[in-house]
Amino acid sequence: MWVLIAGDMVIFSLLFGSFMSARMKHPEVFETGRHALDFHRGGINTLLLLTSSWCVAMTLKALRTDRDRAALRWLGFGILGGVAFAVSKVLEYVAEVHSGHTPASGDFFMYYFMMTGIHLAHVIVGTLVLSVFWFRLRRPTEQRSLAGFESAAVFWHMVDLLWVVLFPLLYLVR
Amino acid sequence: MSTVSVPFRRRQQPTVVWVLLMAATVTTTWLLSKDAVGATTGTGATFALVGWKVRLIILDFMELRHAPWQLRLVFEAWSAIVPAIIFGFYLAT
Repeated sequence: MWVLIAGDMVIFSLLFGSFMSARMKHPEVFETGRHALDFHRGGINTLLLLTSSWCVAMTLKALRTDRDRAALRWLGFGILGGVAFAVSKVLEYVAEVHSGHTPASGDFFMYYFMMTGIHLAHVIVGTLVLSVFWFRLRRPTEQRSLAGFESAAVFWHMVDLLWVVLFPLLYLVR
Repeated sequence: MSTVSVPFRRRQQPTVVWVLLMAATVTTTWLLSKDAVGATTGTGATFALVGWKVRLIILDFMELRHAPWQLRLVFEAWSAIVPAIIFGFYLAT
């Protein structure tokens, strides 16, 4: 699992470097593109993912002390955070496309749609995996292992971590 | 095993970490982005805080604080190097 996480983080760091390298060539184009984004929405999305990550950390804490009902509740809030982020991101894409910004609108928007799109795919996969654990937790069995959920939690925290870098990179570098 | 003997700073409860992360996000998004803060200062401070936030997530949410040092080194290095490279590109632009 750690190899998968590290691999994903290396791929994203190459994308971050590539974005900044492209920005060096046309800083004015990237600045104009950045201004077209809604940084308030980006900031709120960051708070949403951080809160979701906290809920998942609290789920694990509850599971380790056999408080399954509390774990179910925390995990439910964690999943809601992922869903809210995904819905907000889709609404943001719709708004951008309505404003005439598409991946073909130049380097900035090509990177914007590519990097946030790959990240959104991670959010959707993570939310689905957490949902599977939520349904499993509703029907507890005699045999239980935390290893599976621990891996899912680490993946979810990585999704959070990548957004923590991606958000300022796209919305705040000026 | 009791957690009472573990010093508060090392224990880093998820809720404490979450509050710190939220506060840092509000600072970078709604304070350091203001025009009153110089662009280079604001961007530099933002990515310093980003590195700190990433390190907190790695150590306390991903629970690598007490992991073998080799694993911890790889991830902690990422938290320092990636924001530094981004800011390096920024300064070179």
